[in-house]
Amino acid sequence: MTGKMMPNAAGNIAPGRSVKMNKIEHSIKDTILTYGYMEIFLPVYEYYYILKETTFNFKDENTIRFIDRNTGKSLVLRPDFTPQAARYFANYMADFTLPARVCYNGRVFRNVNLNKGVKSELLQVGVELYGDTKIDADTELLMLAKRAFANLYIEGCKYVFGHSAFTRRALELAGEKSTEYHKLLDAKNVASIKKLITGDSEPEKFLTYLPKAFGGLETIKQLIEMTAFDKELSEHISYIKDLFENLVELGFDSEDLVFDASESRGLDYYTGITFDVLHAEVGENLAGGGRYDNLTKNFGRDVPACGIVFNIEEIYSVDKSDIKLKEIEWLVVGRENFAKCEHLRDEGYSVFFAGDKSEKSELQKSYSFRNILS
Amino acid sequence: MNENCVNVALPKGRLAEDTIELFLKKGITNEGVVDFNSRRLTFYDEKNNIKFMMVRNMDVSTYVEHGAADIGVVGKDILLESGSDVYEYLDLGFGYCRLCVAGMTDRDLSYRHDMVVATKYPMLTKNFFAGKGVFVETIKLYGSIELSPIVGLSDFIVDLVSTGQTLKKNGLMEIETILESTARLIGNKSMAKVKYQRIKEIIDTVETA
Repeated sequence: MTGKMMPNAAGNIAPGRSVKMNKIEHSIKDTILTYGYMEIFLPVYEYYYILKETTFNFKDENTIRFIDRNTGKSLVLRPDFTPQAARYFANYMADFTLPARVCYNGRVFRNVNLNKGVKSELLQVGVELYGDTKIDADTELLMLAKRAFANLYIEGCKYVFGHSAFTRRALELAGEKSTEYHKLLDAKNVASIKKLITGDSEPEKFLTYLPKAFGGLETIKQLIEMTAFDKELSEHISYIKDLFENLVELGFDSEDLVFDASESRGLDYYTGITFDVLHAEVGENLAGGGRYDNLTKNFGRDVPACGIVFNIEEIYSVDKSDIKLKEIEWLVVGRENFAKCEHLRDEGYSVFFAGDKSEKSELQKSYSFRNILS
Repeated sequence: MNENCVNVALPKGRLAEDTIELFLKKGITNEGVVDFNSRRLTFYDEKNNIKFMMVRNMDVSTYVEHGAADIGVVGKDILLESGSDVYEYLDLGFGYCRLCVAGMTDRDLSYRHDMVVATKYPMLTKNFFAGKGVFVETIKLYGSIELSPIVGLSDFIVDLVSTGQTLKKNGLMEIETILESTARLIGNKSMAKVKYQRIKEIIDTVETA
């Protein structure tokens, strides 16, 4: 080693892994295109002040930040595509009839602590659907996810939903205890919530049940009964029930659908459903998304929006397909053969050229060639 | 083993023993699955489809946070120190310990700015003194914390105290308690939902006295 190490958690990707990650990325993009999404490219860096107000879960300590020498303003490597896509839509797609669909792919960046076993660069593919508040739009995103995973032959995905408006209403019901309750709910701290909420009125019973209210259709049924006292909660839980029914009708296995009534992240950001695609073999989500109807108005156009993003690294770790590095069709050695390489390429072959003939056998250890010309 | 197997991370030692005793009583696992005298690190209970892994107490929340374990048992002290993003379902009541500030009996024991505190818990220590309006430097040590003020490495220590005998023998005295800790049942956020039937069953079983 020369001591010239990579920065902490920066990401090299070796040839075998790169092939498979590309395959995953392209497969998902192909699926996305069948839904009529248009691809856009978005900038790798962005003004800090723009993202600070518009990014889900934006934390200073999680971003990689530097200074724009022209304006003196802070820049960040993009931690998320969604705000950039929203700005693109608001500013440059004004003449498009709604609904509008855009997709993008690339790396996002985050600042990570030392020795946490995670990289600071993540490859993502995502979509945004603007201008549709109906259940169809949410359903479409989930169908897109299901189809994307089916096309990759990945089985065992669980689709876990939250409803931010439902959770917000629950917090309201906690009244003056709301801040403390929110903290405990985040940790699903069953025991402490029981100590905090002691009465046995309907709302109180509901609030003590909430940390354990995650599960399938039976949980939704239970919640429908328990929330009958409140019109708003009832509306939101019926929405989830309708969505699940839609999805099952369209081919989802009901066993794979999970609702977590206490999902409480990003409550200022999301306005409706949130969802994660999870898998028993990885701790992080394979994909995730939700509805954020208040986002685009930050960029001057008030249009409802929802989206999903796929995390290629996580999908990679559950993709069992065996992809080998592509064989190179010709190894050509010897400087006198240089022109022959171009002829072979004219005929459509892939060719690896090396001037020094004596390297022939060594090269075969590092690469795989079908034919050799020396 | 299958995908519905529940993986449990336990901290080697007393907490693991207490947890297994509790799980036996509740019928979550059976006799003879975990052998504390063996040097093995994992034990699989085929009948109940549950796997136990023995790790260092400081590492439990790491295994759980990354989803290598679905649930785990860890002291509140370590949970707070690590700041791990995990669910904290239940207080198991056992594994009681106190995190205390201690100093040399024969020295001035009043707090002042810029003093040096040796501890296994730098985060908790910094937060505690910041709350008191005192800025301190912390030195992270991994064991025999009591030694550091004796040899002049630090002015105070923050460490777990049970009877106080070790402190006394080394010429130190307890000043105040930072935190009273007990064992918590924690869980990975994703796996709670992927394996919700099993996880909820365990929470319910442990919760009912």
